[in-house]
Amino acid sequence: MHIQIFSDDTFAAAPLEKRLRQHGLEHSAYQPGDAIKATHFVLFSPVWCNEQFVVCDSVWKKYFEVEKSRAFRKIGLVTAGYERAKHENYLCLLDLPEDLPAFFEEALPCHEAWQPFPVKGTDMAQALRRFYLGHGNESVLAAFDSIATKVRDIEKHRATMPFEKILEGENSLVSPAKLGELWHNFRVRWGHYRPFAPSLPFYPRLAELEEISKNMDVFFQTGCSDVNLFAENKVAARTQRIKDILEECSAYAS
Amino acid sequence: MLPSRTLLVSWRWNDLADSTAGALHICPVSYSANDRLVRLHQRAGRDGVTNWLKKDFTLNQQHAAEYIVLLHGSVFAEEDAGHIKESLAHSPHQSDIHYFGSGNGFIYYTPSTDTGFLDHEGNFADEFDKDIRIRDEHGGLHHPCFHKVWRHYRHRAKRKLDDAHTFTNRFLNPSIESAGLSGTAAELMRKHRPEYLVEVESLLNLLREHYDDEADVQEQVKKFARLLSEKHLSSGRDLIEISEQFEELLAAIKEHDY
Repeated sequence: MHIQIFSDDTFAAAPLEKRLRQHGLEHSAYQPGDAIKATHFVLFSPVWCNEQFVVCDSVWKKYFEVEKSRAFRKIGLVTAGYERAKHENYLCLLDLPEDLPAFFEEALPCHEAWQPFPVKGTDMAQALRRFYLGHGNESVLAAFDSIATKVRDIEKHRATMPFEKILEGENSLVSPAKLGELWHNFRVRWGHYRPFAPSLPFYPRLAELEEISKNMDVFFQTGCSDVNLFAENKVAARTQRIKDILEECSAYAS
Repeated sequence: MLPSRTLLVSWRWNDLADSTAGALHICPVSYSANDRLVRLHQRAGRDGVTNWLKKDFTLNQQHAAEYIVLLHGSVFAEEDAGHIKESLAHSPHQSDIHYFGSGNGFIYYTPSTDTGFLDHEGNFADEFDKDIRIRDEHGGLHHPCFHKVWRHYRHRAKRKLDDAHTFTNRFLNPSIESAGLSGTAAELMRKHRPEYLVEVESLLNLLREHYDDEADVQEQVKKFARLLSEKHLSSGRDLIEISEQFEELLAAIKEHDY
């Protein structure tokens, strides 16, 4: 048994770590982006992130559940906090079980059907759904697909057509103003969710999405009409990568 | 004289979407000449919000006035609030700016608490549901309806209290269990994390002052204050009673904040 502990407050985790040591249970601290190499994962919930407490328990469960790794599906996800709860996968830090090894042995694995104990805080599962589905708007996948399609058109024709012809005139394939607007809207939408990324298990992919997006801003924010910026910033390949990341992560939002 | 209160909501107001009269409407509040709801269509953007505030600040510069701006999160970017604040930095008044829709949706009408006044489609909640009573026969917003939304966004009392609950537990539990300290919660905080005690006490004062019309809140505040200063803590289990009293207090505040 190896227990990884994700707590944004190391002082708060001290009593649990002390008890784990007393029982001889192997454990280590998890930091956002670390590899997961545990049989049990303790998530201190809520997580302080972006100046507020967020609850991402069910996102973590979903992540372990749907990831391809069989080991992930067997992980016993345990949330820890100060609620007086009787739940196989919740640790009340004010009153830790006498027999901690037995508690961890009995914690349900992620592939089984159970719901994390409800904790108060900004619900990241709901926020992710809102990010993907929109709030009276089109889904983010559909919105980004409009960008990806236009970028693909540019990429497809730029070897055989002058860049201006692809972008401008009555027969243009892509309106630069529209493309710039679509990109701006995507960045606005993502901008509200980006600060919460460190609380999520797929943080490395979201950090990559942000990094790639930043690298391409210069093309989209300068009129989308500079062929050199398009090529230098690898806009076609990077747009596809963002699309892939958005699609991959959508599996955790349902 | 009490300061005037202006709540500006920039959103996809359907009736203002194609209005020839412009993107703005000022909705009075029943029996409260000091309060008003300013409805601004989101197409006015952050410049529209900034310009309206600047103009109104100038008109009101001789009076005490408070402003809260609510921006819908699907249209306004994360940096818009900062941009608006910067543009108004040298103005005679200040405004609190919050986003709604992508998180805190207290402004939406909730039947269980009878709070809020928007539906989710771009209208007042009573536009199509005549059983909901949020406006008078002249179209003025009922005062309790305005006041509760104002109070919620102005103070964010429940959220702050909830945060304080977690922060104090995160401090007190390890202090007792790992560091071997003992004493009342107030003593431990005063000695080792005075900023937590200041925060908790200022929240209790906020509730005493602004929720004075809610007897249950006042009752729970008294019980909680007593526990903080009288309950001796020497193990994590001793914290349970304080934690449960925190919950009682939170439950007494009839707001939802997530």
